[in-house]
Amino acid sequence: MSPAEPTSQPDDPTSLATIKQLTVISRGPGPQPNANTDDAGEVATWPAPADRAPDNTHRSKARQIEWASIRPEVLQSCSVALRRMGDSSIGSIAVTSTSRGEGRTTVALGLAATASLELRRKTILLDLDLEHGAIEKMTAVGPGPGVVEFLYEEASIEDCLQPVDSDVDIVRAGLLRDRGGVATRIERLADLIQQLGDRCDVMVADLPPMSSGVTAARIADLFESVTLVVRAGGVTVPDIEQTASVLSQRPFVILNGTAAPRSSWVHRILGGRP
Amino acid sequence: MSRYLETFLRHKIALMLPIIIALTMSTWYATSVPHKYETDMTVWFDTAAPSQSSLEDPSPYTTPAAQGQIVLQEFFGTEQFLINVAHRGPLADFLANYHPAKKGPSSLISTVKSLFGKSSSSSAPVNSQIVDSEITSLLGKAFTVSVLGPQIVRITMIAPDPSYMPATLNAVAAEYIDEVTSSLKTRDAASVAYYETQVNAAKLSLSAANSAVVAYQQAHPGALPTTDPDYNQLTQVAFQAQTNFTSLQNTLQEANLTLQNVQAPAAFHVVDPALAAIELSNKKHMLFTVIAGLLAGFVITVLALSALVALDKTARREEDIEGLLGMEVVAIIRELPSQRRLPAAVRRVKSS
Repeated sequence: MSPAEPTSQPDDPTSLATIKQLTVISRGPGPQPNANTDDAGEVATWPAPADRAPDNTHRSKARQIEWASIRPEVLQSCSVALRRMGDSSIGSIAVTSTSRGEGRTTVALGLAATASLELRRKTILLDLDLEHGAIEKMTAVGPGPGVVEFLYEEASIEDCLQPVDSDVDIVRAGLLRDRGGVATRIERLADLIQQLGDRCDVMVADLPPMSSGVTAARIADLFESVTLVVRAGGVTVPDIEQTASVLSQRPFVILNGTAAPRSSWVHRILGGRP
Repeated sequence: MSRYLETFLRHKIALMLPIIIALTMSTWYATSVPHKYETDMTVWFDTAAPSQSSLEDPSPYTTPAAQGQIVLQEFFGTEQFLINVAHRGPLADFLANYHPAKKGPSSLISTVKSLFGKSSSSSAPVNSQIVDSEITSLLGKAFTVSVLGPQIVRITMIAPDPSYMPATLNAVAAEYIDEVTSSLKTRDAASVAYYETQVNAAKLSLSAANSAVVAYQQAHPGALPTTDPDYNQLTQVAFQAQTNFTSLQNTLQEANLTLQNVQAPAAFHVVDPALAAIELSNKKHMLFTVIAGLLAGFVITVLALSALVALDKTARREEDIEGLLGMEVVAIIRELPSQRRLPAAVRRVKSS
């Protein structure tokens, strides 16, 4: 399966200019997140877009993400990313990166939240970073069996799926017991992904970084689309090229942390995107 | 430009460090440099007697002052002259007994050197070689000679301590006279020695010529110079030898007289002796030093910044990924979210 080709018309709301406008100026067409602040920081709320007719009453109200801590800016960028990647045609997304610490899990969370909130899709968030699974730390998912348990046939899919919202289910990574276990159970993992895909509209998987080994690339091949999270200044261009070369499909890129530490006066002088 | 600015802002502390360090060091150095004092004296030069005075020759090819300036500058370029001046004046004793504490970066360097045993301790006895070395380093650039007119020359001395400066500068004049006198004596003694040799040779020639005339007369009694050409030639040789001998004797006598009468050149004397030294303002020097330090730090920072930009192969912009790798950037997140604590609502859901 190949990813849908994004359009790049000048008037297209998903064009690069619009992306910049959305991500930088935070002003423009499309839904705008609002930020509420509680004791831990910002929690995004997302108004229902007017062009999508609500199918029930609770979706016509502004909804709040109560199962994860995601910054509004991340949601906004993920919304643009989904549109650029093909919007309604997208079925499964593997989120990976070249190395650790590039914001992979955050982007996976953002994509899942956006798919459920904005696209009104039934979404499953799958943690496939079995060694360093972080989704359970960043979401409201509780303890229970996960991917590892399914791979070892200790739990069923129903056991693993944990609903955290009306439209969002999360599958934890589980408790890893054997590093080589995934490689030897790749067929069962493909079966898991297949079955989960049948149960949702959009599946977002948080993969391990490509630097962790060839298994990550094999897992990425099981998804319709691959999103490569690149932390600006965190990884070299040749390394990104190397990562892309081990993937069977051309990945989409979400560039993370591009804001240079400019002070406001520098920003004013230079004008453009900081 | 924007890439440079971004790189600078990313490493602003590290890149500002060279400027701060260079500025600190230059300020430290500028403020620790010892104060400088100045004193001067004027001296009179004229052509040596019995030659015509330059006052009577309004447009000589080279003025006595210009000649004197050249000679003085030559003397100031010699270590022995400076050492003699210091020993004639109070400077040698001053340097032997006084050890000013070093300040600023030089004190730091001395401390480091002493830690590695490369410098003798300040309490060690000062030998004459060290004093002479200090004299030459101190006086080597202390004097400047300028011509005020055809006969007047100003000698200016700049040094860090006013206590020994007037006496040292006055010692320059005395030492100059001694050096010139000594040079003249040596020269005249060499002339005397030369003429003595010439006189001795002429004396031998005269004696030989006279002996030849006497021998010829004994061999040819009654011979006359007018009739005998050989006898005539011998008598002429003897006459010439006698004339030469007499001339050389006179020259030798003059040279001996000159040597005996060598004295201080009357064509040189001090017009204005050196008085108490006055302190020079070092604000200009301080300003230049600080600016130089600032510029040096700035250059280092610019070089480091250029190196950082040149060595940075990381992807920072969408152009890096789309242009170099041909991959599509579908979104940009400006700020990398940090791992944060779950919001209260999420924690409640989780706990339930």
